[in-house]
Amino acid sequence: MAHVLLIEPDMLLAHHTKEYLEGCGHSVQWRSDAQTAINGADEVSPDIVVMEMQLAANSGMEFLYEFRSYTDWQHVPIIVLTSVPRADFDSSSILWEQLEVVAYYFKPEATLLRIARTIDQALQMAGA
Amino acid sequence: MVKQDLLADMSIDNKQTLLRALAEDLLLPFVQLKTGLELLETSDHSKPNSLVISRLESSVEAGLRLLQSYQLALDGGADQAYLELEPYAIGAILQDCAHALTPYAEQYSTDIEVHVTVKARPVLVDKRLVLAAFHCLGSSFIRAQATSEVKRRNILVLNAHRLNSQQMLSGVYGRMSGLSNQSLSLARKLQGKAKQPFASVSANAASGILLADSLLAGMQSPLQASVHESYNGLAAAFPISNQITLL
Repeated sequence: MAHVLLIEPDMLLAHHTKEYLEGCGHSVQWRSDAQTAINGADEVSPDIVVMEMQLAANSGMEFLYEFRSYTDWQHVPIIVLTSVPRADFDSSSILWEQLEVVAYYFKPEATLLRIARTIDQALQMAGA
Repeated sequence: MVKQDLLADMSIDNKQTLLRALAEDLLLPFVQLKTGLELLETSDHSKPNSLVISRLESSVEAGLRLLQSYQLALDGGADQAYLELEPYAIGAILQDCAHALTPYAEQYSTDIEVHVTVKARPVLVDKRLVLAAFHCLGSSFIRAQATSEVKRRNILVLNAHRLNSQQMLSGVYGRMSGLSNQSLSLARKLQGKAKQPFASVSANAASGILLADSLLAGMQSPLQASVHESYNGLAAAFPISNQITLL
């Protein structure tokens, strides 16, 4: 079981993802924007983060840099689950590696099953 | 044939912007359906998950409404002659809109209130466009305000009040931050060029605001920032009609 920090601006999508991952045995903390996500991470140290990049106010990229700036969270695995195709980001794959993003999923192409499996794999690798 | 001629008159840029926005907007209800169905597959088949099913129904309804609104935006944007302007009681339109939005609002823990001043007068509008625009605006506000895991109810207010002797101001209000005429103007310029034209509003919610603006602009009533009681929102000024109200 892992503590998952889910950052998703849409409530219905968040409910679906949360309920699915809880069904897989994880505890899920849902936050809808970058600022409350940082606060949430402070309250319950997450084992893994699943996040959307398009957020109100501060973007997902701002969250990533902020999150990684704290020593405690420098190696917490992050999975990007977003409505932005990867090709739309004007950044190389090196950037995602530097930010230790373990997987990047475009929402229409991803499934909750795949997310759950990626969480398990990422946690195994982090624990190894 | 007539519709094709009208669409041919609309600039390619406008059509491309609308189609791109439509493709991006439809992504949300489809992804909601996809994840909801996946969740249903994992649940106990002897006990259908009625909560997820009702969420899926509202996603389908939202997707269909979105398609209708884009169709209207394409038609309305093509030619002013397409407009069907008639005198309507704005309160009745707001009540219809509230009724249509209620199941969607329920999914996002939101209550809808309709506030109409007693001095309300009939307005000269194309009811289809106003209903579609307020539905887009309302659903955007509903999504944007539902940002907390805490089980608190959000409020969406549909309001109409007299602006002056010639116009009624009517719009959608809530607890939204960062809505101003300046941010609206910037978002119009960024529409079709930026993923997130409103910095303070999530992309899922922002597109509905800009679609509503396009629909209302077709009636020469573009959106403007507005405040009602302690709520802030976006509203449009409609010309008062001195003819008898037709409901």
